[in-house]
Amino acid sequence: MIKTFKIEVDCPTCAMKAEDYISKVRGIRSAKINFIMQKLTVDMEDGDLEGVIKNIEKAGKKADRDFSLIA
Amino acid sequence: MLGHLSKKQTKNLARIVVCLLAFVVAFSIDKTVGLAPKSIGRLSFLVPLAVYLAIYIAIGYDVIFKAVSNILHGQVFDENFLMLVATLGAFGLAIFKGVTGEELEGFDEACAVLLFYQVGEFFQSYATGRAREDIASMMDIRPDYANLLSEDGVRTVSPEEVNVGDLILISPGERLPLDGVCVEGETALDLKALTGESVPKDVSCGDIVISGAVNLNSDITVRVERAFYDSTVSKILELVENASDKKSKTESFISKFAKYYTPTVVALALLLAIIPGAVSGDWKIWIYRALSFLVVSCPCALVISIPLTFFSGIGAFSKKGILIKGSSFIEQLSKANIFVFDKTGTLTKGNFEVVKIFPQDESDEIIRLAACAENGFSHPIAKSIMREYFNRFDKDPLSLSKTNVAGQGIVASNGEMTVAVGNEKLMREQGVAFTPSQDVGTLVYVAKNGEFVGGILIADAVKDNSKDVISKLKAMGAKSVMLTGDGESVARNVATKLGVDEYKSSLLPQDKVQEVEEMLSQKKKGDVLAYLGDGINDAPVLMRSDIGIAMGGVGSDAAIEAADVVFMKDDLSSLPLSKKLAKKVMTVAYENIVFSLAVKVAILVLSALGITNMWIAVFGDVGVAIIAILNAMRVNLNLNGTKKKG
Repeated sequence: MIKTFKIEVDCPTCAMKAEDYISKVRGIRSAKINFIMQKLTVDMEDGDLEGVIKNIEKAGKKADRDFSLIA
Repeated sequence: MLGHLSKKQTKNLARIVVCLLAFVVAFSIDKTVGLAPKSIGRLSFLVPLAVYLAIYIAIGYDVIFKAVSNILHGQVFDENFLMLVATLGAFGLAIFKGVTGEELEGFDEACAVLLFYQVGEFFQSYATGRAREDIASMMDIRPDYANLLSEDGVRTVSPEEVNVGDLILISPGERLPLDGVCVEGETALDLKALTGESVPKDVSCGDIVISGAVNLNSDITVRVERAFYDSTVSKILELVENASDKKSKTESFISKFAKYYTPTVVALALLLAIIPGAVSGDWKIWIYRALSFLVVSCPCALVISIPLTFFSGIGAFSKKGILIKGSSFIEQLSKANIFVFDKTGTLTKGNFEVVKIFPQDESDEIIRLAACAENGFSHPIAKSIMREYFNRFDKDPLSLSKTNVAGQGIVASNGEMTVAVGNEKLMREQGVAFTPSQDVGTLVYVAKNGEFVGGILIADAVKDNSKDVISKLKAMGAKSVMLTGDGESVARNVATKLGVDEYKSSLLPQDKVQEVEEMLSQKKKGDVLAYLGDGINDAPVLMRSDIGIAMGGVGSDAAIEAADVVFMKDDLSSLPLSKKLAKKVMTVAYENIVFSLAVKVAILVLSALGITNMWIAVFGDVGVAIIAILNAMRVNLNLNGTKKKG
């Protein structure tokens, strides 16, 4: 399942890092961040959507403290 | 001056200003009266330490926090951490000097480095944010809502909810949310955001309208033909938003370089602290110089400005109605030196047209007679003659009874007059004494009552700017090749007229792939082949070439999907323009790389030699990043001639 999220991330480097971290989250097959559009696109396995979203946010924050998931 | 600050940025700015003021006050007292009271003797260094450390913590608590949390996550070469090591190291040296009773110095510097680092971070974040917003807003053709017409009046819904066949209303000033057909009203549409074309397009009932266009004059009702996900706007947005996937070599090089840069600089710093330190025994000097290294250990300027340059470039392209599927194609375009054209629909208009009437003086009469015979037939030849007729006359042609002579032409008569319009065979058949023409194309002869009147040459007309474009490409040092399914004589004629370097004629659609394959295998290293087609039947060639360019992309899904570059406007002049833009983007990218690296290396060398100090290092590092970002934004401003309004 492909899902896109609106995110807030400060710099391209942070975006790159966050992309790395998020793609390692369980239940995520791949993750891509478009810095200019401030958009995160993930290919995720079906299942616990809420839980995965929480983990995405956590992973993003781990990569960069100012990362945030808006919608 | 600084509009659009986010909450966080405003907070940071306030913090920076307060800390900067505090620093200036402390620094002035320090340098005039002196912060350290003589009365407490050896411990006097504690006072300046406390003052500067307080400012240091106020300005840098987030850096400290980030550094610690990143170290816990195993990111050793984190810029925050390195900055922390550099500044804390500087404090350490200053304390050491204070304890050993040497001069009291260095506290101000340690504090200032972090302060200026934060100032730099703020500007970087601001400039990056602005550049990002600029580009994003330029690409913002996403419609927010649709006015759905239903039995109980107009409802405002999101474009995703509208189904094929629904009717939607678009008022002046609104953006068309979906593709469809105009069923009521007439207006002019602004397609600038889609095609870069500034002349509005008039539409009325029955015309196809595309999403993303802005309604200018009056209400229109549109029957939706495609769901939102298949609409032109969605396709374009998807393309532009995913453009960052296909990274140019330059961009990939920078990301790779960034990975090695930091560890290398840190290793050099360690070596610089240990080896000369051990040899000379003067630890303080060498540790200080090593700490200056750490200040420039972040490749930020490059890592931020290079992707930004390409993003900016993609934005500039799309402003001109040119969609690029990735920065790698900007790089390729800048190098492209073999341009292969599909003739029909690209270099030529792709439809038959009267290009010559002879003898010239009788042209009105010839067309009038031909129209009498051809009126009502749907053959392309008849249609092109009728178009020419209505270009010249207002009323319908004389009505005659017509006989269609298969493979020859038409004979029409009303008793008094007989008109024969057709090829050489028909003329011979009718016993007309005619002068055959040597022109290349389809020739139609006209005879009245058995007397030869003249002839009409019908051909696929060359686009007005084709010749100009070919010569512009030549001036840029590129070779042009024309491929066509037409016969040798027509192909040679067009090729000479346009001045293309090579042409291949009588090609079937599948032959075109083969021709391009062959050219690809023969090209020299460093050559880049671009193929330009109108997107009809040439998807395989578009995909096979180094760069596939589809022209007149609005509404043609297959072309948008197969091509790497799409000209939304059916205008050949986009080609030299995009080559020029691509070159410009690459120049800015190289400028940024060379400039950033040169400044960093200069700082490293000067620091190692002890010529410069940490102040200069931090100024240089922050400065170069900001200049590189501004340079990246320049791509967008300059290329478009005018600065963005508002």
